[in-house]
Amino acid sequence: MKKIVSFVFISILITVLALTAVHASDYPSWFPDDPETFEDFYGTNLERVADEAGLFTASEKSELTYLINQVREKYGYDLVIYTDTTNYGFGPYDETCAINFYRFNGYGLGAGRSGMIIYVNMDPEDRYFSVVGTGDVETRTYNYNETIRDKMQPYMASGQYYEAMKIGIELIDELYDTGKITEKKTIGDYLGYSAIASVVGLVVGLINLSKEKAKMYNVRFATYANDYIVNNSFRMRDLRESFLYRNVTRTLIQSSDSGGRSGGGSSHSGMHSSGGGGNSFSGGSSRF
Amino acid sequence: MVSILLNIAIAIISVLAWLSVVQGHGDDRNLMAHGLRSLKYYTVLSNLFSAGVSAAYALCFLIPGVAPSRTILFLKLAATATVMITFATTAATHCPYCDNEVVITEKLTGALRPNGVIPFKVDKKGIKEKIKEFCEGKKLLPNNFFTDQMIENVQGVYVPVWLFDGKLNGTLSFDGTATSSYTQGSYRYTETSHYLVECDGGMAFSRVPVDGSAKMPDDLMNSIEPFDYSQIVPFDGQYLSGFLADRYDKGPDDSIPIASERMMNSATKAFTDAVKSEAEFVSSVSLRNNGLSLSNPSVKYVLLPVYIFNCKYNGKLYRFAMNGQTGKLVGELPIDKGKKARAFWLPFLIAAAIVFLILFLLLR
Repeated sequence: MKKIVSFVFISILITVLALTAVHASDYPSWFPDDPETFEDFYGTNLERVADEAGLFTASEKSELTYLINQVREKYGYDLVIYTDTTNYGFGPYDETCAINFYRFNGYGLGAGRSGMIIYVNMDPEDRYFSVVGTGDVETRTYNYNETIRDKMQPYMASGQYYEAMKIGIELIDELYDTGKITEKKTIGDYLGYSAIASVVGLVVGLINLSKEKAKMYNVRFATYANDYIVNNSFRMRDLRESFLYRNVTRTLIQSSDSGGRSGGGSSHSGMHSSGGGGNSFSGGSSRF
Repeated sequence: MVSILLNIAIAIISVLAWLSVVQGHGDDRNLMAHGLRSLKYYTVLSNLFSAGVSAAYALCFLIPGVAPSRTILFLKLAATATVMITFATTAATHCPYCDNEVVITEKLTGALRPNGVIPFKVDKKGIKEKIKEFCEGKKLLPNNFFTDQMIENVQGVYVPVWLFDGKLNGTLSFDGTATSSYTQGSYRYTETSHYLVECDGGMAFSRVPVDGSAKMPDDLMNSIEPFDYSQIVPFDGQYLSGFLADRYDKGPDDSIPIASERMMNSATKAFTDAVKSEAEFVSSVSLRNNGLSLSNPSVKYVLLPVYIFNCKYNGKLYRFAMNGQTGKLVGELPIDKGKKARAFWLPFLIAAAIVFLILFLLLR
C-alpha cells in the first residue's frame, strides 16, 4: 500500500515539474530569468524591426528600419516593430507581450525610455496587433492609438503588413511631431457634413420663413370675451369632488443591465494601461 | 303722340326702377348710375324715376315673397339734381358729383337711432403713421405697397355694433383625475382615481361687441378690438359728416348667440382654471357638462369708427381695417416672392455654413 501511495505521489510530482519545465521553456530568449530583479536600461542597439514572424522581405525590413530611424532621429523618441508567432502566454492583456519585449530588450530613448512599439501576434488561433506607447509619448498614444490601429486594420486584414507598418510609422511620425493625428477627410465625410448642415439649414430656414409669414396676417375671429369681464365678478361656490372609481395599471420595470448586453464578436478592440519596470504603458489591440 | 311717348318713357323707367330695387345687380346699378348721370339735367325724367323707385320699393313690401335688395335709389340732390344709388342700410355717404356729405337721417331715427357713437380719433396723418408702424419689421412686404395715394383714399366708416351686457350663472361639472405611482418588486404601479367635480358660480360681462353689419367681415371687426367704450358719446348725426355710415342689417336677436358664445368660452375657461387650482384631490380636469346660462342680457346699439381700405397686389385684393379710435390696423399683407425666397435661403445658408464649419473643425 505504501509503495502505491509513494508511486502516485512521485508521479504527480514528476508531472508538475515536467509541466513547469515546459512552461519555462516557452518563455522567449529575451525574457529575464527573474523579472523581479531585472534592472531596466534603455538605448539598446538592437534592431528596430524584430520580424520573428517573417512578415517582411529583406528590402521591406530595410525600408522600415530606414523610416523608423528617421523618426527616431527627428524626434528623439523610439519606435519598434515586433512580430512573432505567439505572445508566449503573457497576460493579462494582449499588449503585455509587447510591453515585456520593449522593456526587457532595453528599447526607448532617454531616461524616460520614451517610444512606441507596434506588435503583431501571428498566432493562427489569435491573430492581433497592438500599438503601445510609454514615457513622454504615453498620453499621445493613449489618445490616438485607436486611430492608428483603425488606419492599419484594413491592410493587416488583407495581409499587406508592410503597407500597414508604413502607415503606422507615418501616423506615429505625425503624432510625435504635432501631438495629434489629423484624420484625412474623405468625400463621404464631406457629404455627411453637408447633409447634416443642410437639414439644420432647412429647419432654420423654415422656422424663419414661418415666423416672417406669421407677421403678415393678424386677422383672427375672437372666440373669447376676456376683455369684457366685469372686474371681480367671477364667483365660484360649492366646489364638490365625488370619488367615482380607481384604476391601477402595472408595468414591468426593465432591469438596468439588460440593455447593456451585446452580442459577442470575433473582433476585439480595447485600450489598457499597465505598469512595467517603473514605466507606464498605454495601448490597445485589434484582431485581424 | 306726346301722351304715348310719355307713357312709354314712364313704363321704361318703371321697369328700370323695379329691376334696381328687386335684383340689385352691381353692374346694373353702375349702368343706371352712369345713365342717370347723363340724365341729371332732365329733371322731369329724374323725378319720374324717383317716383318709379318709390312705387317699386313700396310694392316690395306689399307683394309676399318679394324683398327689396340691398340697393335703393336715393332722391336727387337739390344742387345738381343727381340721383344717387346706395345700399339700403347706408346712413351716411358722399356725393361724388357735388362733393357734398349726405346723411340719411331716416336711417338713424326712432328704433334705428344708435344709443351712442365713438367719434373718429385717428386722422389722415395718424393713418399714415399707423400704417408705417404696421409695416415695420415685415420683411416679406413688397416695397411701396402702401402708397400715399392709397392712404388718401382710405374711407372712414361708422360700423353699427351691438354691445351686450349679461351674466352667466349655473353649475358646471368636470371629470377629474388624480394620479400617483409607486414601485413594488419588479413592477411600477400607476393608480388613477376618477372623480366627479362640480361647482356653482357666475361671471358678468360688459359691452361684448358684435357687429351688426353683414357687409363688415366679422374677423376684421374682431381683430381691431378692443375699443375704449368710456369714450362713447350720445349719438349726434353731425359725427357722421365726412364718413360713411351704415345702419344695422343684423339685429340683436341674430347677434346675441355670437356674444353669448364668446362669454361662454371665457367663463368656461375661468371656471376650469379655478377648479384646477382649488380642487383638493384632482390634478387634472376636463369639462363634462356646462350648465351656465345667460341671464338678464341687455344690449346697446352704437356706431364704432373704422377705416376700411383695399389694396390690389398681383391681381389679388387685400382688405385692411383700422380701429378709428386706437389706430390698431389689421389685415393680410401680400408676400413678395423675392423676399420670401430670401427669408428662407439666407438663414438656410448661414446656418448650414456654420454647422458645416463646426463639424469640420470638431471632427478633425
